[in-house]
Amino acid sequence: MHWGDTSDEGERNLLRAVDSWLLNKQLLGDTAIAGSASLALAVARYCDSIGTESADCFDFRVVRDTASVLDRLPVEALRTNDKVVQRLKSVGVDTVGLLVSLPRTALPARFGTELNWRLGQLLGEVDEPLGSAREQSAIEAEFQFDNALRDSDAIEAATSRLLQQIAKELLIRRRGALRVLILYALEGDVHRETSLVLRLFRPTASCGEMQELAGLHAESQRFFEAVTSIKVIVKSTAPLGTRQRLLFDEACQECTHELVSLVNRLACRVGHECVLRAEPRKSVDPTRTYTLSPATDTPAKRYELSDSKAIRLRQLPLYLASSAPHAHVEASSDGAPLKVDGTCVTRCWGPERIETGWWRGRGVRRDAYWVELENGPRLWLCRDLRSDRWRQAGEFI
Amino acid sequence: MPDPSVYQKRRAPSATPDVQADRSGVPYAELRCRTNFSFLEGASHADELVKRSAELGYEALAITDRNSLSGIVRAHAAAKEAGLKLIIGAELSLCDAMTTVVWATDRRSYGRLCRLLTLGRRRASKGECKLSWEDLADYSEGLLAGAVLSDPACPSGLSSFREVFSDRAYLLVDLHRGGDDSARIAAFAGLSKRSDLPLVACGDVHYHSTYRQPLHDVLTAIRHGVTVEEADGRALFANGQRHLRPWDDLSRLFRSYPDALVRTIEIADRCHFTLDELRYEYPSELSPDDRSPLEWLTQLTWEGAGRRYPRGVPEKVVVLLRHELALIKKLGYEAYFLTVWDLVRFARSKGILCQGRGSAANSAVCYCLGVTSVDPARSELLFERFISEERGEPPDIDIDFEHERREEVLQYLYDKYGRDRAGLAATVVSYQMRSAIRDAGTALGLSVDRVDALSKQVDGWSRDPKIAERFAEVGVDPRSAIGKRLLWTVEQLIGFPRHLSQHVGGMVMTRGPLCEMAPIENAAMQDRTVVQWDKDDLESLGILKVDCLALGMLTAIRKCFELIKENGGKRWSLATLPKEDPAVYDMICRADTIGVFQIESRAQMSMLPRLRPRCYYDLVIEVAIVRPGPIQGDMVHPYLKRRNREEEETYPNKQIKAVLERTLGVPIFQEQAMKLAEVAAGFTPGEADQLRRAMAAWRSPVKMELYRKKLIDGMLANGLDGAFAERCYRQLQGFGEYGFPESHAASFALLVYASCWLKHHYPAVFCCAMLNSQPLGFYSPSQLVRDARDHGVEVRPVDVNYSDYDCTLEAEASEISLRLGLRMVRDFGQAASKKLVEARSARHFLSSDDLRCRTRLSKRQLSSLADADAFGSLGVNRRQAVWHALGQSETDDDQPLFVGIRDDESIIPRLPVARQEVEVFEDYRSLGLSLKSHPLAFHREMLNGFGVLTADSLQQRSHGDHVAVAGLVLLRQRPGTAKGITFVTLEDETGATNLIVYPKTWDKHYRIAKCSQAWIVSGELQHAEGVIHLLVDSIRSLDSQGKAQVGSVRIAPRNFR
Repeated sequence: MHWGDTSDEGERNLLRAVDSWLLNKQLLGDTAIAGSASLALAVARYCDSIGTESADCFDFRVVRDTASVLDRLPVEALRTNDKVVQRLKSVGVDTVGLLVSLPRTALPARFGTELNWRLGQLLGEVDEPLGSAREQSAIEAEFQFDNALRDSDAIEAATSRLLQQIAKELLIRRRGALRVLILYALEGDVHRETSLVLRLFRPTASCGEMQELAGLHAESQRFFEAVTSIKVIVKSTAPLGTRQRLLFDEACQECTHELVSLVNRLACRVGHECVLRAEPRKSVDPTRTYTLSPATDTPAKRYELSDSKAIRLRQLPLYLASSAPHAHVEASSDGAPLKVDGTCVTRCWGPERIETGWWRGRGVRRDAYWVELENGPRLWLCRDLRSDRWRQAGEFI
Repeated sequence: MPDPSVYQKRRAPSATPDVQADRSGVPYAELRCRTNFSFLEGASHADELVKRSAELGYEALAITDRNSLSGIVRAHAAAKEAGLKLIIGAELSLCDAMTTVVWATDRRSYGRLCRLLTLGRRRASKGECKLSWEDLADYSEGLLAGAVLSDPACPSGLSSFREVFSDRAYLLVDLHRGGDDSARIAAFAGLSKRSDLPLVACGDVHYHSTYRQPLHDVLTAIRHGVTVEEADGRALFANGQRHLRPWDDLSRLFRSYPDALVRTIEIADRCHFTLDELRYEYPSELSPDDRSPLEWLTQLTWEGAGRRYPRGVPEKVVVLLRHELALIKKLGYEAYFLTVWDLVRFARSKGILCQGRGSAANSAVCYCLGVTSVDPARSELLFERFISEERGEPPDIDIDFEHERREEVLQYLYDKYGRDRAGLAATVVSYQMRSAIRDAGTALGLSVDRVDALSKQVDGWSRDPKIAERFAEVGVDPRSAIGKRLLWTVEQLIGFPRHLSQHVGGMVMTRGPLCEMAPIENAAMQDRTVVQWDKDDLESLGILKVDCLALGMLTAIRKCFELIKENGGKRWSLATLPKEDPAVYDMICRADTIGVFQIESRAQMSMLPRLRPRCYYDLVIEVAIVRPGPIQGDMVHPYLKRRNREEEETYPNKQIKAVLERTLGVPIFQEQAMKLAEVAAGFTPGEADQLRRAMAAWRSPVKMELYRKKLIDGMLANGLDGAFAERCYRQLQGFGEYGFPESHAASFALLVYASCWLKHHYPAVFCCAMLNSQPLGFYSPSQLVRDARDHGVEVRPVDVNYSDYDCTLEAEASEISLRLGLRMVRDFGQAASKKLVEARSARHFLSSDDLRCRTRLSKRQLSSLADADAFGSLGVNRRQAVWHALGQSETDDDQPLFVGIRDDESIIPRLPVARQEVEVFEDYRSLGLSLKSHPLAFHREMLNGFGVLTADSLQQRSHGDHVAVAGLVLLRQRPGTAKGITFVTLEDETGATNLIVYPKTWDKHYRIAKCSQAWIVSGELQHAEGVIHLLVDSIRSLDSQGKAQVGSVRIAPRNFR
């Protein structure tokens, strides 16, 4: 690429181009060209303090006369720590130019060894390699059919091949897929496509696992229009987990293969939002002692509950009513339920009074009872202490 | 009679629902209850708990703070007022056994409980307690005990518990609607049966009402160092049931085991002890075996009188002594006076300057004992004013000691009486606005920087009526959910005790073991032990304390005397200073009083040209008149008018004339206000004192109205007119909390005169002694030095060849100069100074290398000297010295081969010479002052451009001119009586300017006013009787004018209230 006829013109044009490129990316940056990366960085960072006299901002951003720039460059530009900067200033050395005029041998004893190293970087005497960061390319694979087709078996076979390709790539990168998007482009004048998402309970690079899930999806997938191409994209990955390393490694925190397989298959069958995982959480409010979230969206780590916590959780119904229905309850003078919606209570435990959560908002104030009705159902009833209204918060099944 | 109202002044209005007091009584006594003296555990004040218990009709309430008896005196006072039986106990956390609640049945068991707590506290660090089961067993006699088990399924140690406490052992059970209370109490009942421990109900009470639960949650989170959210499920209670519950609730909860409730009464009935049984007795060993304390006191007094009046004791004094000794005998205070005499005798024997003050100190007896120097022959102070038979309160003598040597006196007392019989009174450190915001904000989950910004936005110590606005200013919307929660929590938290600290000097000594009267614990300071009660607690129980206070001015005066003597002057003492020197009073009248005792504040200096003191008693008045009491009571102007003969003195009758004549008919002293209530309204001395306390402690409208009616009715009945009565009442109101006693003013005035005399006759000596006694007083070293230079004193810089640790005097011919000492150098220290001075004793240092080799100071110490520019006599400037110091190894051992190698000869000349401005800033950074120039001087040109005047040019401007000045903020002062006005002193290169900032202006410029160190202000100039003030209407920060360096000058402005 031709930047200009002279080096000066070329460097100015390069700076302009970089500034403009950054601007196009909606980024603002300070740029400079100098004999060393460190000096360029210093000039770019401290251009305000060294370039105020110049009308053309490029005059000082392209360093030609290093000595004059150093005379104006503050010692902070050395990128050393604040304490060293303070010490330098305490002896009147407030510019790099002044520092350069002193013998280097006298500096380490007074300001530490890092100073000479930084100075060397600035003056181009010490290498300062610049590393580049490269964005990882997406893991994806695509297959174009020569002729659009509707045959499910053929489509499944093509999908399997694509999954094999991405499984290989995942293994190379030592990562496992958590979510895989499969796009089917449909025949027609307008670009249309249908898709399915494989959600995995545990990161995997196993082609078999992915193929199995894709197969399960395919069972319910009908293609009413011909498919022209298939694209498989790995949307989310995580490092591959370690399997049991030792023969009797009982402390292994990974869930069993069977469980993983079960969760994956269930999620495929009934929808991932229906396969939930309970995570323990600390709270005095029983309804907050665990959270439920899609199993395929949460890390597949095992956890164990202490006896008391397990007992506590067992005291709660498995399903809590998300919006608990009101219940008509006749209660005794001390508040215990006697009848629920006209049905007599045969056994009752409680109340458990919960008054907490005020710092989250309105807070909770309720008495909870475990009751057994004469016709069998066992309910978890809550009485709101503010409104004195009863709700059927859950039922034991 | 203890005054419970003193405990009520710190609390927000209670939001407890008003429950009609159930005076019929319920068969229940709460036996396990924490006050907020179980720090960060209890969420109610003792009086709130007592009041609520009485409202609920409880038979009794036991205060059982964890490992502490700190809250019981307040509870005792509240219980007496409420007519509730109070049981004294504690909850003991044992390191090797279950938690046990113990209750004292009688005086002896109470003494054992105190001893037990003392044992646990003394073997642990401050605030902690280490007790074992064996300790409890050792002191168990007479104590009732309740075992606390969280899970009845896991009992352990119950058999030994039963064995030790026998029929005094119980099993406690609490029910808090935990879901399966029936099963819980059944399990406890079974355990009770198996272990043969009677089951007793309790509430495990942490607060008086359920509405305090959120506050308790916050306190719990603070205690665990987490947010409330994080504490949920770990440390928080599930509900707000740890409160005092009505009988209906209790009877329902324990309906299956009603005996558990009935047994609380059994325990209450077994506890007979009340704090009223504590009898304080003075130490008795101060008199020889063959003399009674009275005989010994009488002998010492008359011997002292002989020394005080070598030419014969004046008849007036003889009469006074006989009268006072008779009164002392009648009231039984002889041992108390001997205690004070013993302290003073010890201090004198060690050369420690001291002086007594207070209600009994200005007696003829104390003068003869050497406790005070106020000569009864010269004053008209009446002993009855200081010791009242009727008031029945202990005599009050405070003894001020040199602040640098007060510790010797305290340790003498510990040695003499032993740790079991002597201890410092405690001080309860309570939540103030800033600390409440910090802790509550963190607990509620605010970010660290937000909490920091909020806390810096408010004054540290008081409730701020504009707190909501302050919150908004830093981005916390007070109407938001989190803003409201924080405001509520802070409001509740203010006044809550946070921890115990030590009183400034109140020492308690007893004849018997003090540790059987109150628990004693370790203070944070080494070798200090404190009793768990504060001064109000002690006073309400009639326990004597002697205040051994630290007074910096006494140190300065003693150092003045020594410096004068060392420099060939006379040997002065407080007693031998020439009295009533007119030149000294001339100086005082000019308000030339920077640095002297008491009359150095802005307000005092403004008063001096108006009051124009000309004798000792004028100083007594001067000390007392510039106080909130007389100011609020509107007594200052009438006094000045009468003094200037602009107004006639009038007295309604002879009795009133006798009280007020010496202050021209205007009550100025606290004693006068009380006496006025007696002679004008017929109050007894005791009633007058109650009136003062009522006004001081809690301005309850109902109570005040009662006193007002009694006072005015009394005056009318004595033939005084209504207007006079109303005026008197208003004046008395002012005295309530803020009146200054004549007895203190009289002693202070002596030190005022002494410090003024020294400043006038020996300005260099005075400044030197003041610098060597820092920190003390109103002014920073830079202002003291500046004042000395204004008085012609040559002040020389810190120099390695001439400076000692302390500032010194250097005499040349007849001139005496002041040499700044190494103590002024930041981060140098006394040990390093000693090394340097010892190394220099052989000969002066010849170079910085010579100094380093001979002193072997560390690199850091050499750098500190270099930063202070202390190498002047070696011809080395600051930067050169710093360069040289930086080149040294941390220790010579690090690089033995390079010791003595010089690499800087060629470099040093290349270092740029610092500008004068930089030198001045570096001086301030290292020394806190500069002898070279003032930071403002370098910006004068810019300031002139803004039309900013210098401080000295204000003299030439007229009253009412609108002017601008700039300077460093030396001090900010907002007296409680000034209705929110802040007095600020600015300093520029020509002098100081006094500013008056009204609240409106302060609020308008709040952030600058509070945080900036350098201001440009404009406003209206006010000239009044030689005093110039600027009434500020605008404040700008000098930093904002691009002079950030000025704002960063290290001056440590002094902020007072």
